[in-house]
Amino acid sequence: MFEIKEISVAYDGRTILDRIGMGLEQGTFTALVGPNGTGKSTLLKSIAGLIPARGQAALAGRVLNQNEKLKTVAYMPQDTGAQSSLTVLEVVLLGRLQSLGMRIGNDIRAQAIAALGRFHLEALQDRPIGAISGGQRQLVFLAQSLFRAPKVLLLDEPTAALDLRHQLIVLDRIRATCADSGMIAMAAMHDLSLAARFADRIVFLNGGMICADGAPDKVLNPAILQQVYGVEAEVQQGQSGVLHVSPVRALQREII
Amino acid sequence: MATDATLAGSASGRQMARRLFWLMSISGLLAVAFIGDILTGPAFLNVFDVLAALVSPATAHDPTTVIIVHSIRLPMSLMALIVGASLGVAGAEMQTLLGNPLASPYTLGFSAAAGFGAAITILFGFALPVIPSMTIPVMAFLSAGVACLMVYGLAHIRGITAEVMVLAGIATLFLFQSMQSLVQYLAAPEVLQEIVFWLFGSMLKASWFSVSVSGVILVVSVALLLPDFWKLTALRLGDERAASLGVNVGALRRRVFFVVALLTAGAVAFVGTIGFVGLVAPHLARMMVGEDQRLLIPASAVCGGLIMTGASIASKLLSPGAVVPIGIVTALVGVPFLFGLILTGKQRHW
Repeated sequence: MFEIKEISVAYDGRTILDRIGMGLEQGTFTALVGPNGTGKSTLLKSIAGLIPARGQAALAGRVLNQNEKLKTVAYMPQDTGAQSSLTVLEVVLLGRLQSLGMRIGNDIRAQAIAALGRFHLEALQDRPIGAISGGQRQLVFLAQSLFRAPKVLLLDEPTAALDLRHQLIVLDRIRATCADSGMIAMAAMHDLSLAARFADRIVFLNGGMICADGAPDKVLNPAILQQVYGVEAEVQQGQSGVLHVSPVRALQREII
Repeated sequence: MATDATLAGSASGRQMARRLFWLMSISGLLAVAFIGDILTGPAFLNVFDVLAALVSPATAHDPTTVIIVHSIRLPMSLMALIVGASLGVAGAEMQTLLGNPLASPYTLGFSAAAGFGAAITILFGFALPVIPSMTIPVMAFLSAGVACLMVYGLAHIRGITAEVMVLAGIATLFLFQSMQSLVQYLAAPEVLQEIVFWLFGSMLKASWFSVSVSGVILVVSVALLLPDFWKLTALRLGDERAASLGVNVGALRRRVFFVVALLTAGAVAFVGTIGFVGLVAPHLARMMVGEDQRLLIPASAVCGGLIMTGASIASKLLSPGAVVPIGIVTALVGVPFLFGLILTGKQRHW
């Protein structure tokens, strides 16, 4: 069990996150959803120890210090492009930056190539990261994150700007890794239908606080969507049994 | 698990072999250029006499040649190599730290500050008590140190980000450039000539002492960078991605900033301001060996050394019987290299 306790973040006296706490079971995939600017990225970064925050993160009951967080928790930022001419293989190798020496052994190189192989990207290993498509780049960075073999993987909008096929590949691989290795994953997402399909649990964040938390079929309903997003939406079960969210119209809200 | 043989034959294995081949080739070229630099000079010495004086000074039959080679040409050639290597490494790290292909060791004003330190020393004509001959280099070095502290102080207050460092550096650059111009304006014509000659950059100022100091600074600086090679490589993916991989980006930027300041001050304090090398050498290196800092740092050093050594040869051949200040010809030598690689290279590096 990975627990986050009383995580709070404030900038210039403004509260961004207010005493967020939750426990994430081993081998599960949690979707973190909510409107823009509600603190999803901030929460992921604060859990990973990348920004100053109050509160604690604990794995199996043991509170993690900063160094332990860096070893245990991997954070994959949003894709904002990459202008580097580092090769795809070098990018994946950087996933184990802390243990790389002047000479890279054949074993670790083979493991990095195998990590690329899980996404059928071996053929790209020599290509510059800045010269491949956005979808391929996202898969490469996911391969890098998984190459670290983290106990906890936090992903910031891993499917943003991806086509339908790449969205399915990315989320399918995350879910499979959770099931196979017991990794705990949490991803900030905007597509609620994808979240319902792949996540074991959905956490709604609004105004820096958790306002709903549970299995997709428990929390995905029109009332919560109206409360969190200010929209009228339909939630239907598809033929495969997966919930599908269709926004109908935006409701008038007082603009603050 | 892949075996050595399969990996050696893999695409990544071939690419690494290609990069090592490039590194060894330019190192070989540098060795040849270095010998060529020693062989050339305004004294028109016999090539075989110079080689004899170089290889076996005790048995060489012309003592004048031995003195010229060992007291003048060798320190000048070594200084050109060390200064070029220092500026190459400093440029590569500056471009990495600031994420900017136009960055060079001079972007943050260290060289302008060194020039100002030298200019006021020449203007007022004062000398240090124990080491009067070292007054100009010491003042240039200290002045570069002041610029370094100014940029660091501003960045420390506002956050050690690339943007803040570039802004603070450009402000420092303009400040010292304007003070340098003021000193030149106030100087008498003969003093002005001396200042301008210093600012051109010349290997005639080289000595075994300056070679030792700049050489030690280069070796120590590269040793200080060694533990951060992979972190610097990760920084090319951007601050956020580097941080997500466990790099303390602020601390890394702070450490490497001081190393770059040390390298730049160590290079320019003795020989004056030499432009172009620190900007272009890292680009040449990157085109040949990529961005893995394990190869980029030595390749930048070799490319910097090669440009400076080539410029040193050109500076002696351009005007027979005289040595043109090397700072004037560095671009003349480096631009054809760069254009050639831009036209033949297939990959974009920025």
